[in-house]
Amino acid sequence: MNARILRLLIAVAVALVPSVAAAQHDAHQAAPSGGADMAQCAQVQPLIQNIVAAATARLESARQSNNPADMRAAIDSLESALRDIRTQLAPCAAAVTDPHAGHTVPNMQPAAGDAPAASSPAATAPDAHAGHQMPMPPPAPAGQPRGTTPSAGDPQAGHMGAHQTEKSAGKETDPINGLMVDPASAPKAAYQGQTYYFSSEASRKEFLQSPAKFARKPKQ
Amino acid sequence: MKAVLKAFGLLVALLLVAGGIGLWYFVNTGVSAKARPGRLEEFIARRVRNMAISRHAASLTNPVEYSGNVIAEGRAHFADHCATCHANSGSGDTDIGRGLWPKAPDMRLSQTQNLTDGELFWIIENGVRFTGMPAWSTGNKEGEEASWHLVHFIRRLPMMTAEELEDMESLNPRSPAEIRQQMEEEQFLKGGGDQPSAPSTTPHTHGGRK
Repeated sequence: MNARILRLLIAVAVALVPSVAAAQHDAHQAAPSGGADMAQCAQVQPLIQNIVAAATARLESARQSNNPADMRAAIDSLESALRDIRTQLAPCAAAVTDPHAGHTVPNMQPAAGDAPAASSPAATAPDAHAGHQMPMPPPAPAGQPRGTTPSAGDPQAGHMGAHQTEKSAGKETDPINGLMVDPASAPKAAYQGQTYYFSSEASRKEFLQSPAKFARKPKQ
Repeated sequence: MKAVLKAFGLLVALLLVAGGIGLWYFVNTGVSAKARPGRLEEFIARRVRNMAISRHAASLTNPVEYSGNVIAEGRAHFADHCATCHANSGSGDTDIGRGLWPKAPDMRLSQTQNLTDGELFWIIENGVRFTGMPAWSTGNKEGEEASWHLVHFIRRLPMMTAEELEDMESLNPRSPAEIRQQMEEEQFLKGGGDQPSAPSTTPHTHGGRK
């Protein structure tokens, strides 16, 4: 309830300065106008290469280890890498006319057809991601109602449906709780030559109490 | 012999009277789920439930290794499927959790935290009979793994930070009305569309999740 009031307040505040709103919106969302997206899309390429390299290394070391737990972890990290890549590719998808229309990424599209948003006015806006369900933080109305409307065909899809953990560029994962954090401002700690970033001081404290439990295996 | 028959008859009569009084009580007061189960009943029910969990299951250890990502998965899953009754914090302080009989437990407390990983897993997969806890088993490996993620997450409940709770709020299921309102607000923030409509004029009072 409080959150709703807060949101309403923000809406009213922003209404007073529409130009600021427009600027903010442009900054937040990949505007579907061509030029800017092309530039962003080009910037993204080295990032994606890094992600792919990291995931490949992880897979290779898992294969060498021949250990089921490692392999599962590698698959998980591959999965999140793919999600990363998809997020990164968003500007490219907006720049070029969507070449993936009609393709679905299994796992990432839980009950897209059920989402009431699909037929809503918002979805009819020229959104290149329509049907792709980007795991972007706030405007996820299409992805939200998973719980409320489990897909009709498979009653179990609801429980099993993959839950995308949001990822975005240049962010680090808190080793305690998996929250995405901005390394520039997050509390951090070094352990065995690696730097860890935390979503809160409490989280950092918890890590320092038993770092061995939470330390990750080398990723890159 | 006659004495025995007499005693037996008396006993039956007593039982009938007690039953009658009980029936009269229930008919007049109704059997409400609002009450809290008595301590004796709670004690017996917990015992019975613990007995119902197979020993083999109780001794299982979590095959999924702890990691931030596992917690994130478990947290997202919990926010989507469990928080409606158990609350994001695991307190059970929700409209449904409070109204169940027995109430949804505060999962941060020892009653839940003292259960073994295997017991938690078993309860998620099989539910608890005669309570609001359903069986979530899907009968496949992915489902089991999701349940093990949840077990890791349940262990974290007592230490949850404000940031994690905030993250969960964005993942809680929403009603179509809430989604519509959010979209209107976003549309409005983008500078287009009408002013977001006020929350439904006929608010239904059962909503809300803490």
